[in-house]
Amino acid sequence: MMNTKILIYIGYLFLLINVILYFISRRNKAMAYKVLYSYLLYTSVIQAYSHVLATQSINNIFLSHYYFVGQFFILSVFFFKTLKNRLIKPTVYLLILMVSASLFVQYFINPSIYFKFNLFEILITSIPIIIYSFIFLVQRISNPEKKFNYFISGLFIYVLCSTLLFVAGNISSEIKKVIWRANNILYILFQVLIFIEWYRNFRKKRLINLN
Amino acid sequence: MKNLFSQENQIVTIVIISVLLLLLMSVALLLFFFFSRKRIIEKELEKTALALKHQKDMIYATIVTQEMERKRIAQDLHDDISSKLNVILLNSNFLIDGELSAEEYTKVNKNIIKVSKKALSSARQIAHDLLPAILEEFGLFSAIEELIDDYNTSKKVTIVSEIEYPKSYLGKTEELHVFRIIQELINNSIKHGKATNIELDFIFKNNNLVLSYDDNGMGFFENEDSLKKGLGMKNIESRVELLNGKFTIKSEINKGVKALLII
Repeated sequence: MMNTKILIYIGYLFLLINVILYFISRRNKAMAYKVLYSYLLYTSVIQAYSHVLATQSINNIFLSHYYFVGQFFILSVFFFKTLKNRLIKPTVYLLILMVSASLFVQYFINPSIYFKFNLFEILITSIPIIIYSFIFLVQRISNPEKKFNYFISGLFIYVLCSTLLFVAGNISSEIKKVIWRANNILYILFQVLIFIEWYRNFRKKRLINLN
Repeated sequence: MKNLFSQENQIVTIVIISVLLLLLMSVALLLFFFFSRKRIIEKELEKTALALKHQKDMIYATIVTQEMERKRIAQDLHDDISSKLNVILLNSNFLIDGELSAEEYTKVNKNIIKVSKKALSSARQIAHDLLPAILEEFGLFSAIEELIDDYNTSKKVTIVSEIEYPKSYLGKTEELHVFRIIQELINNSIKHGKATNIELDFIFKNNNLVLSYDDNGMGFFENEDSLKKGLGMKNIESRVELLNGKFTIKSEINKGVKALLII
């Protein structure tokens, strides 16, 4: 029990550190950086709120919807700005449209799932992110640009594995503990990579605006 | 109950293992990406360095040629013009101080005129060798014809040609480049190849200007000989690039030189 709590708190800590660091270096940075920063901010707000609810023993599952959908939207904007291919922009628009529409329909038909984990929602918001990350990494193979490499690598690994974890998470309560612990560990790794990203690429002030 | 548990345990194990596998696979994928990235970027750097070196070599060749030309001009001016002007000066002084008889006076006068004419024609020749006026005024076609005629009358070499060039098809600078390339090729054939026959065709084919050149000299292979030849080729290369054209040159010992320029 204590073990899990420590992992969770370490995760929060790293997230918080990253939010602060990215806030400090926010001057003179391109749009993509600001999107990354807002992603971190958004996640920390949701984490904080869910923690508060958890300590008061209120059901905070509904926040997961905001987490997954918000993550999808914010990262879609990020990839919109960073992926270089004239097919990308219409694809991103299309996906945002399709995802929003299908979720809207789903909640309209069955509003009660608001208070439960929504597997479909997790899948359709995470899989595009995995695909976008993969495309991003492929585009970076012949490009000496270093920005966001660590972040996207971490994102790719984290979303891929955590999606599998979430999807398997509802089988039984025994599994739930293991799953959540694994998720915590992966999340810490993700945040560590985001920290390394900041340390390597964004620590110093950028003199030339290349992006 | 026990059954349920062990089944659950199995599922838990399966899930854990599949997540670990997924983790492993994605890390492997990332490592693959980053290693191939490193390789590709190294290769591109190498390519760029090579291209840069090539450019540097061309610039070097241009500078060296320029200095050689200047030396030659200085020499020509000194040998042909300066000396003759000196003679004229001496003769003129002689006219004033010499206390000459009428006959000697006329003789010196005639000498001055003769040497002046020579100096004038040398100056014209130097200017013409540097940049034939015909090119400016009558265009590439006439300039090439005149060049070929000059060589043919000098009996140094016999040039056979077929030229079909629409007037003012290329701009003035481009015409100059083509002219210089032809000059360089002919010079090379005479000086290094010791050729006696050259065939030069400059025709319009498939929407392109095609210059084909063929001589019967000694030919050469890549590693041979003087810096001059290397320089000449580099200059031709620079000019070809400026023309946005393609240039190929082939040569075998004792089989002459064949060159092809497509614009």
